[in-house]
Amino acid sequence: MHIAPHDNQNRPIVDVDHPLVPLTYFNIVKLTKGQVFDTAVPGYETCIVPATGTLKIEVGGQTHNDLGQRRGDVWGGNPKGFTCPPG
Amino acid sequence: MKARMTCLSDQAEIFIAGAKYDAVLEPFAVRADEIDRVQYGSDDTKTHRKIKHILGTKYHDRVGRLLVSELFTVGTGGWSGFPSHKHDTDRLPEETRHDETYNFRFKPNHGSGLQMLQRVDNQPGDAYHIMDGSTVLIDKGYHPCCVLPGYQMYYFTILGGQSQRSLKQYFQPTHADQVKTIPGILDMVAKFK
Repeated sequence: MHIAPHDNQNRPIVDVDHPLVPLTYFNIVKLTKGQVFDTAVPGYETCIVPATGTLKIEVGGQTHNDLGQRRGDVWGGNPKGFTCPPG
Repeated sequence: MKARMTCLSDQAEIFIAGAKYDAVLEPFAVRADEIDRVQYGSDDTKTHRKIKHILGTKYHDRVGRLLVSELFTVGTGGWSGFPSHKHDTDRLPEETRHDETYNFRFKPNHGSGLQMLQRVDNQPGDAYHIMDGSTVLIDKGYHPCCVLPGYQMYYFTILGGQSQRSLKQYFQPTHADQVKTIPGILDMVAKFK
């Protein structure tokens, strides 16, 4: 199945228990400086990977202050990730 | 468990990748210098690619079912996901069931490509015209993709295993001889194990 590019408004593109690919989950979140976004996905382990930009991440008592270093597009350097257990 | 992200840069676009899994493992960061890279294929065979594994095989004891990677074509134009393979049925040792989701980007970003989805060997399948930001859901079947000449292609790859994390792809019998003629395919397979 193809889902054409669209503004998903920070809501999951492939949500939990999707009828075709229930074993996966996918969201694209777009933020500007200072904005905060909370994510917790029941029944799914997740990994947060900035395509571009830099984040502070707080999970389970840990704080990580510079996740992501790419600017402009995904060709700009190596990715970073942060895992998160089911919500 | 909840994760809170705060944007520190002027803007950020963030992928959140998930796999169905219940147990609570300790969260951890993957740094840029811990990324596992593999380059394979060739310009001659029009299959030259590289993969950056964010959550690859070295994390089997810290992650339940989720595999996350980024694929980049090397050079412009060309094919990926070839030799064609599938992973829609748990029938070890030949194959595992892993659902898969891709998100595509092109450089320059007005480029585009095609995603094939062939459910039955030797019968015509479907093809989708994919553009910058397209999401493709691979539930079943063989799934090579390609990009127009002059453009580089990227796709963010999420795999979720049904009964194990380690991926076993089944190569389509019709094209399986090319597993040996396209350079580095077996190295690529090993990095998803």
